[in-house]
Amino acid sequence: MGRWIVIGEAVWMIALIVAPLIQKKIVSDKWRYLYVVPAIVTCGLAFLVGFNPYLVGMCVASILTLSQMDLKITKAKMILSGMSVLVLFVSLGLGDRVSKRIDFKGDFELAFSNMKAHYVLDVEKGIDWEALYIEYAPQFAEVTKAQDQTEGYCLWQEYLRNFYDGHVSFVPGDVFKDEEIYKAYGNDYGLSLLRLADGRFVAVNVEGAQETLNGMADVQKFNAYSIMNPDRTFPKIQNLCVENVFEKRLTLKKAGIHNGTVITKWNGKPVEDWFENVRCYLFQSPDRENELFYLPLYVAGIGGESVSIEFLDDAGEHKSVEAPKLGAYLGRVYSTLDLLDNGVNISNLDWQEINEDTVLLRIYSMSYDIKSYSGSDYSQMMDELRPKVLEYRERGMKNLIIDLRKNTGGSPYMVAGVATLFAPAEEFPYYYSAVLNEKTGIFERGEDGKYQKGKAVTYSGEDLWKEGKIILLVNGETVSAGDDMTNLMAKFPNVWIMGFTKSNSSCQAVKEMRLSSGKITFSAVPNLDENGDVIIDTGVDHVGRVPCDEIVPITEEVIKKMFDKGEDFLLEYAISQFETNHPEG
Amino acid sequence: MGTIIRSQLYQLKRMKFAFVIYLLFVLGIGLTTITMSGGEACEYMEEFVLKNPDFMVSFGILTIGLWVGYTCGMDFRDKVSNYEVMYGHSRLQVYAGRFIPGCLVSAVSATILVLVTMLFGGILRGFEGGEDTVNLCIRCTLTIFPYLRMTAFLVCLTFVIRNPYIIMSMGYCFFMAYAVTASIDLKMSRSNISSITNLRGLMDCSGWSIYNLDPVKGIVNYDTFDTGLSAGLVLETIGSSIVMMGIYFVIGYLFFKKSDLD
Repeated sequence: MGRWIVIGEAVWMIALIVAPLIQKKIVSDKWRYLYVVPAIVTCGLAFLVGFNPYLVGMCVASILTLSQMDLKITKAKMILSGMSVLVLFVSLGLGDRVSKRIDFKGDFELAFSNMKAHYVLDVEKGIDWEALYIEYAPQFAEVTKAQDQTEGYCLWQEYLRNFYDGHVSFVPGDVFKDEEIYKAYGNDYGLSLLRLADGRFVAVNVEGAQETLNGMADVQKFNAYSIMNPDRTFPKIQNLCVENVFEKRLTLKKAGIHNGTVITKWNGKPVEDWFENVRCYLFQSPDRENELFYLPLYVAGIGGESVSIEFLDDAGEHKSVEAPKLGAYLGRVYSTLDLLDNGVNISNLDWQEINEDTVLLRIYSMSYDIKSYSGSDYSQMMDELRPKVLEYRERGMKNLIIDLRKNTGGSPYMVAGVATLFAPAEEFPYYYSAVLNEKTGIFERGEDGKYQKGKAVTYSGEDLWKEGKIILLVNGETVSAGDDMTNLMAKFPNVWIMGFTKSNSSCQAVKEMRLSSGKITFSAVPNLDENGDVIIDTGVDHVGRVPCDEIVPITEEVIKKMFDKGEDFLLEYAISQFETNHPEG
Repeated sequence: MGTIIRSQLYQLKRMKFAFVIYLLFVLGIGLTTITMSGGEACEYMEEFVLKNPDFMVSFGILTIGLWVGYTCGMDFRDKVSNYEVMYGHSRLQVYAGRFIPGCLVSAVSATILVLVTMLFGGILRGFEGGEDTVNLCIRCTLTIFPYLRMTAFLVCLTFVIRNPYIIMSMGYCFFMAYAVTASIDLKMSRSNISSITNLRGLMDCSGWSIYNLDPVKGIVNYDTFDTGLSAGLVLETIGSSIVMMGIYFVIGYLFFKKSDLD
């Protein structure tokens, strides 16, 4: 807003350059108003909005304008008006610079002090606040001086990763330029990496390697997420028409790298040696196994203008190729995660009949409607789900798949509502809230270091899927209330939990905090079990405590089906497990 | 100048209509406090003040335009200022003789409204006592400084626009500006240079807000407050008021000294 007012004032003052000439011809007392308007606008801006970087120039320009009120010499008036315009344009430039300046250090201080006072898992996670401050405060001060947005974003990621908490994150605000964030995830060389169950690293989501892409024309087969384009969908066609860019994209294909090709070295080192160089994740993985699962994905963005990739060709021969940088890697990260982690593409709480024995219920968010979200009454949701469940049972369906993949969480009361339908017919404890000191807003620990147990939340099961089998599909992006649901239903005898990884293991309630450059979120409300321990979240061992009955191994067959054919391997595997009369649950 | 100030105050005393309106404001505050007490489950006056910071100061803003219009603007409807100058008073004396009482009367009456609101809150709910009560009283008293800044701005505008009714309506506009900015979440500076944000900064003692999960009620919110005053806040409030009043004084005078008073 300040910027536009400065521009408006500059226009006004340009008019004041010619005004004295007109004043000579039209004599009037009212001309004085022209000279006082800039001062009043400046004062008004200070009055309403407070200090603004543009204010300094506006004040100087206003004083120069006011001083013209008593002047009789036309030339002097015109010169002063001209000087005012100059001052305003200088202040515009300076103001733009100052207003876009990010106070990384100030934001870090604010975030740190609030997290230190209110983060509820510091003891459980072994957080050493002093050491963290000593390590990161100087770095944030440095990056504030340098005003390097990419470095600042990476620094936030590194600082927050010390909490090993899927609920701890930094979301950059509008002041960050998109390109600066893209740079943080590195460069796209035309592929992502995954680790097979046998320990080998393979290429996936390789540029130009798809057999088919929904029947699209050749030129659109190239996914080209690497173009610096905020829109993560297919790129503008004109970018692909540039000859050398088109050729660059064929580098891996020509070298013989396709989905499933074993990658032996990345830029001269084994892939796992690059793990410590990964600075930014799209989401935190508190469980160490989950973290190791996703790390190779981010390694594929590390490198300069080109990267040397050593691989085994189809004949088992060692080969290497120099892959050029195609653009920003972030788009390919999203696309690889979509192929790997996306659940069935239907609406939340929607059903899909798989076959005459099996039905799927998709839950990607623990939210039903606005009214119920802040309350605890999900009876309307249960009244909608219950008849469908009974209908499928009456039709003889025995197998239920609840797809919780990429479940972003939401209300714990909705979790209880859904679980009630499938829980055995008995009373279950869900969790205990912690006692809050209402004066200080702090959840206080007792002498044993544990939070004091407050009210218990329980639920009674309706056992609507009695004698049937239930498989829960989860992954590392199943978080918060999604973790809750997994943890809860793991106790039911007829439930089997499977996924390529465990669920995220982050379940405490979250608080969001605004900063000048964005916002952070962190766990601020503890949920306790009957022993008074915090439920689900990992401790210093970084081992997720949400049960997972089967980790489905990533094999060459999985890669082929998922990345070449775009199939939902995990779903097909789950269906096949019912057919082989497994799991027993 | 003393004579001019005394004459302004004498004129003010005879403005029964203005006093009636002011008393109506006081009554309005009382009634609003009572009706608000039904909705807000506040145990003590302190809790009421902490949970309703914008209500505490907004009525004061409404009255400022009224008083400035009456004290400084009404003389532009006749030739009083002209006669004062002809009688021998300098332009500066004529100007300052209106600027000073205009600012003081408006700011003091607005601050009294803030304290009256506290009093009504205390009568209805009782006082908790202790450090928080003292801090809140100091904060409410300090509101005189942003009010002084606001009135000085309006007085300066009065001498430029020379129409009391426009100034009175501008007071209403400031009230609406405050109410709108309080109700919507604008990315506004927290600087104490602006009288609006300074007022909010003085009255807003919000600390940490958190929620807890209740099996019956669902999400229950809790707000904590910190009434402590920092030296920086006090000095900035007083300092920026003095500086800005000086600036508004100069701007208004520069305009007034060449104005045609006939």
